[in-house]
Amino acid sequence: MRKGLAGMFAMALMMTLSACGQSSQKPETIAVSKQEGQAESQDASAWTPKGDITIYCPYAAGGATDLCLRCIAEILSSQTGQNVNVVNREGGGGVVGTTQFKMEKPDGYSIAMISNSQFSTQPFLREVEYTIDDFIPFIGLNLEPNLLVVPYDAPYDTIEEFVAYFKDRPDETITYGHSGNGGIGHLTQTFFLKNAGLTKNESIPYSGNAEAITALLGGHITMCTANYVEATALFENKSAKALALIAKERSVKDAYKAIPTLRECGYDVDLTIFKFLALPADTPEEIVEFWQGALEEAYQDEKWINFAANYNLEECTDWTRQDIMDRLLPEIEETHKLLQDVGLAVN
Amino acid sequence: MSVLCTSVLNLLTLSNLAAIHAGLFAGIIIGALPGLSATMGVALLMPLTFGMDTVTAIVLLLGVYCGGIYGGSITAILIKTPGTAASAATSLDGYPLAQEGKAGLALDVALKASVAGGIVSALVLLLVAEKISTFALHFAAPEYFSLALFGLTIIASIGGENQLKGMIAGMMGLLIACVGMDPINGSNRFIFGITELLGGIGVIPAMVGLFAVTEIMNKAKTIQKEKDTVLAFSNERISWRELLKSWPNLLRSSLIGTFIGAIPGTGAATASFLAYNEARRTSKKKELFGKGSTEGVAASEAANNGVTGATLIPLLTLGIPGDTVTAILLGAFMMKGITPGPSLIESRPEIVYTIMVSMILINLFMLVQGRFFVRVFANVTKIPTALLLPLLITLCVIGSYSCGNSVFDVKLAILFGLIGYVMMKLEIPLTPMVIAIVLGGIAESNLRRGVAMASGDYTIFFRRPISLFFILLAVFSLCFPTIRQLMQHRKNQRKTI
Repeated sequence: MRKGLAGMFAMALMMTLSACGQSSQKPETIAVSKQEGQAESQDASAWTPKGDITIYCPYAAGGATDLCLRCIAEILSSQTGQNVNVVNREGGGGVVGTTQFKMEKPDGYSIAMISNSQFSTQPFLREVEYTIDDFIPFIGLNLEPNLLVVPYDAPYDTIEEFVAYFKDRPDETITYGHSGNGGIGHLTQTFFLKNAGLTKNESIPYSGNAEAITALLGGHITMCTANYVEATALFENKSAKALALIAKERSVKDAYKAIPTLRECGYDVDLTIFKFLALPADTPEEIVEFWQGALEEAYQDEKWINFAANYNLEECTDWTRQDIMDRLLPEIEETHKLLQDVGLAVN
Repeated sequence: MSVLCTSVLNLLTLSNLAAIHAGLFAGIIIGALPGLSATMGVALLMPLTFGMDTVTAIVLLLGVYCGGIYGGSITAILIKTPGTAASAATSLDGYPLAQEGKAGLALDVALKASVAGGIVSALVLLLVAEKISTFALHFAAPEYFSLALFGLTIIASIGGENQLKGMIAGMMGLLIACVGMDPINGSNRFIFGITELLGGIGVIPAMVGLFAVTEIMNKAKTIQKEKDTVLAFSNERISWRELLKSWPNLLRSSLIGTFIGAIPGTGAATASFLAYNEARRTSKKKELFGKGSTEGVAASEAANNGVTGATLIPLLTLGIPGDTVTAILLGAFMMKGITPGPSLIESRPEIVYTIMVSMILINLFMLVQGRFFVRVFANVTKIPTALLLPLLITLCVIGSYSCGNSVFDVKLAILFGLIGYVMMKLEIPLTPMVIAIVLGGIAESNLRRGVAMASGDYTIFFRRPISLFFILLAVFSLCFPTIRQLMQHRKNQRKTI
């Protein structure tokens, strides 16, 4: 009896541990790919991983980012022959995970997914203990353009009509929802309303886009932002329509091609979340090169291609380290000014 | 009607039935393990469904969800370590029952009540989903605040003999809920330079600490004194007939769960506390509550599983994800190129109805699997205390670690264990603190959101009918015990005269 109980507890512990590690690998695939990994490592003295690899995800399990990383982890695992685990360290809009990742050893066994907002908005909203110099971004992942949406039966279809409508009704308060203060949805809408001269407005932060959209459909707020996945559901059900796209260029996706960017409408704001993979700052060059190559290969994998297509991802997988830095550095300046402009910056 | 028939036939394929069983099995284990919530279970298993057929994938995830919510009750009853926050209220009466040697009875009540709650919820989903979703859309920040306020009044009635001490615990809980990033301004509050606190203090580490670690310390004290006694375990069961005798309790609790489930963003933990409180208020055996009342166990479990079917209402009828679980399900739909919502009901009703019908089947299967799990897990009571406690503390450490993959949460759980121990010594009840941690965040962010919506006008909470209704309910529930005491007092006086 005792033995049985011990076994049961051991099983329970293992379940928790494996769930922590979140490795959904089947044993067979690991065994097969291990051989491949060995074959690869024979040809040169270049660095290859020889143990478990951790990918940091600073957001909750189940979100779009998390699912991307899990798909990549699965591909990388069969590529390298090692266990690749996605670990969620959520909280504080990604700051918690990013700060923790900074402490990781630069030995190539920990990779993180980081978003531009960790550097372009968060450091100006609160004190953070990292800068972009603590990391080596080595390859892009995806862009997350947002759409400015209003209820389907609203009496305006474009940004111009929206502005004109509320100019005619100076007593009406515009309430705009977003997924948190200082977030891109908040900044963009604040900037837009300010520059449109619509001063009677109220910002309503929600703990996520989904909550804001629920409030929009209930008629409790005037507008909010939505990403592609959320927007697809809204448009197909004719429950909301888009006024503008918040991005540098129009969408490459057929479904959203017709939607003008906010810049086209005359509002100079195009902040877009983009995500990339990074290593800690002191990682040796050969390790960086290895991961760059591994990710380039992974992005060619059929699994990834299917995933990206089904999830309506706007990829930026061809961005190199230079591309990321070229885009990020000016953006940090720009956002800082914007945050000071709308009175949100703390420094 | 023919749509319904097709969808039942659609559902009854070997792969779907296997998926439901697999999902439930994984869900119950994940739910029973402290630290891993039902939501996390769904997220973890989501990548496995990529290659599956749409309906198979969805029913698997729903199985995990329902199983996870139910599974939490097993450990809540046996070792006072609720596997998920949803089962916190279950342990209030389940654990005392187990200590009396009635673990089998408590587990059986929990299982049957869970199934009943799940089925009521599924029926509501199937029959009146659209009407409810229109109603649920009326809920905005002011309504959420008033609802949370009503929930917080439970502290007054649950606080035990000393109301003041209950209030103290509740207030401390509200303060704890303030730690972390301010939900509105996003500024840092009470984090003392500790980055990990930015995300706030998790309900799981706090609950594991307050309930489990405290109890372990308490038990550890007596380990040497008494001869290692092993708790009696009777295989006592409750018959359906016996359980259905208290059908008003079951139905009310299930409907509370369904209602809370349909308005997104509040969660199963809130539902179970509300139902528990209502059951206590209307019960004829009030004095048993907190000391081992089967009614309390039934209310809490019927309510938290009542949430499961109803959370699908906004997703299937409107295409909006109300909480994390439905957001993941929306992702699962999108992966298959299907968009849930009114247009799906029109174009491919069989998919929507198959999913709705599957909820009933999932709950029936849960009854079967639950029996098996209860039998296995019941062995825990046969472990001598001296062996059980080290095992439990290990489980607590792993559980609090796994909810955020961080050692910091383990430290938090231990800290809360110490706080709980001190509170216990001072006879301050622990439950009000947990309720306040669960509801504090919802109350605060929606209070401030509501005020922002009305441009700083606080009367918005009284001008909106649903909000006003809950505020009145809160006032009533706060004053009810005092009024009753007064009336009793007067009656007694009259008698003596």
